[in-house]
Amino acid sequence: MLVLAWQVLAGFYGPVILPSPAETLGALAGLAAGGDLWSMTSVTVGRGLAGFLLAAALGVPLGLLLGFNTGLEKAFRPLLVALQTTPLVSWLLLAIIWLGLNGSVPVFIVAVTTFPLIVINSYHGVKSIDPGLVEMARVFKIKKSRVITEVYLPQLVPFLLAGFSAALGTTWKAVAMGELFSARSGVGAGLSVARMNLETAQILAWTLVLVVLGLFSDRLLFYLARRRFNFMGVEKGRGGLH
Amino acid sequence: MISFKKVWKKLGGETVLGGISFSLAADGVYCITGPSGCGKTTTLRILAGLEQPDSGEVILPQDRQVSFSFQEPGLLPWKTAEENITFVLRDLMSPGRCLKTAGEYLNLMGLWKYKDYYPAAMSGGMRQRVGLCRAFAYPHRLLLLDEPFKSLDLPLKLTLLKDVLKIWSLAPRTVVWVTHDIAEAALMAHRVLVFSAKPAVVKSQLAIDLPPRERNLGDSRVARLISDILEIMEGEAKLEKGMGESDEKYQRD
Repeated sequence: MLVLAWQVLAGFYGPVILPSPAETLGALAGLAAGGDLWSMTSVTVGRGLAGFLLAAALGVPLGLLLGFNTGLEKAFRPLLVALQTTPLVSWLLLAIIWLGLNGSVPVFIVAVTTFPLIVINSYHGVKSIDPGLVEMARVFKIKKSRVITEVYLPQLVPFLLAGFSAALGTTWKAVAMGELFSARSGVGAGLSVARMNLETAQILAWTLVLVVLGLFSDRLLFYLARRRFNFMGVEKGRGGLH
Repeated sequence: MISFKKVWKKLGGETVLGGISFSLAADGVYCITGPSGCGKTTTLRILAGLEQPDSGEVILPQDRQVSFSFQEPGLLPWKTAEENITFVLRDLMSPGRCLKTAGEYLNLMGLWKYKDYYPAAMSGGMRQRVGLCRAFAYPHRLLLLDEPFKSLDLPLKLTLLKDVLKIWSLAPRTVVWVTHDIAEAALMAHRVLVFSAKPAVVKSQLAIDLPPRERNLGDSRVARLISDILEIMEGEAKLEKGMGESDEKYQRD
């Protein structure tokens, strides 16, 4: 249906404004044949994941800390809101000034945009912990390590995954944005070249690549989570994963 | 030996315990009853070490081996009935012993069939029984029961009371049992403590000499016990109602 509408509109506007689905796939095939598709995409995936992992490595501990410490939460909240509302363009310009025109700019952009999402979701995970269950574990003098893995973690995991999922959704947008102005490789750079040559079909082809990356990474996340956390019965008990 | 001397406790700006005093000998069954929200649960929580009194003295046995059956049963939703019980035993015994102990108590409570059920698939009464099962299975000297039979129907309740009695007589321990059900108290307790409305004091204590094994609901002595407790509680209720009416008048003026 969508493809059909696309086809009709493309016929109406012509290939510079809106290339047809066939022309887009053709451009994609062209990129694949030239070798650009694989090399550029793999560079972008590497940068995106690096930024995402950096944000997760810093964001999860901070989110948990804020959840358990109300005083700290009050101090950090304005900072988080500020991080979230700072326009992407401002980050981009600052990053170029700070880091120069190279591949670390997109990594920074991804980290800085996904970090608040991960912090906030981890924080809400802690807030959703059932105090009755923690108290129960205290009465029965359960070992600290088991309280963490068997009482806290199963309650946190759905929230951490929600945070990762939201962050991954943003990752591919942010990485392309970061690469657009700063990098000579990657999908963003590909977009930049296509724009300069008015190759609209290539712009759509690269966009398609980013969308597919988003879909694929989301499925992969839930597949890994399911394998990793099945033993806790998270799914059966809470329906937190799907 | 457990004792409370003039224990006061405020919760959320409201005085819940207004100088509670009582003492309990080892290995007896003590029922606490009284109007809703009068601090019965708070008393249990102090006994469990979950709350500290604001003032007054609480003496607890040295080796604090306490087990607790919560009003909200506090089962882990991601564990089955059996796993919820072995969860509290795992630090104390080998995995094999855990399973064996859990199995014994599940059997005693007629829950063996449901051992692989998750809490989400159980009725409220079933969850409560699993919580009770867990409390019995956990090694203890002091057992705290917070309305353990709240969501159960009468025939099941009577069966379970017999089971509890059986488990208790095999290994007598101190049991502090909070209940709204006077018949439950009259059937089980060695002594009944009746609390007043908030701020709670111990209004009355009734020692019951008749061995619990010889009691049943048809017995005239049990019937008299029930009416005695009821009389004390009704006096309390009248007092409360009187106060309520005067409040209303005050508001109308």
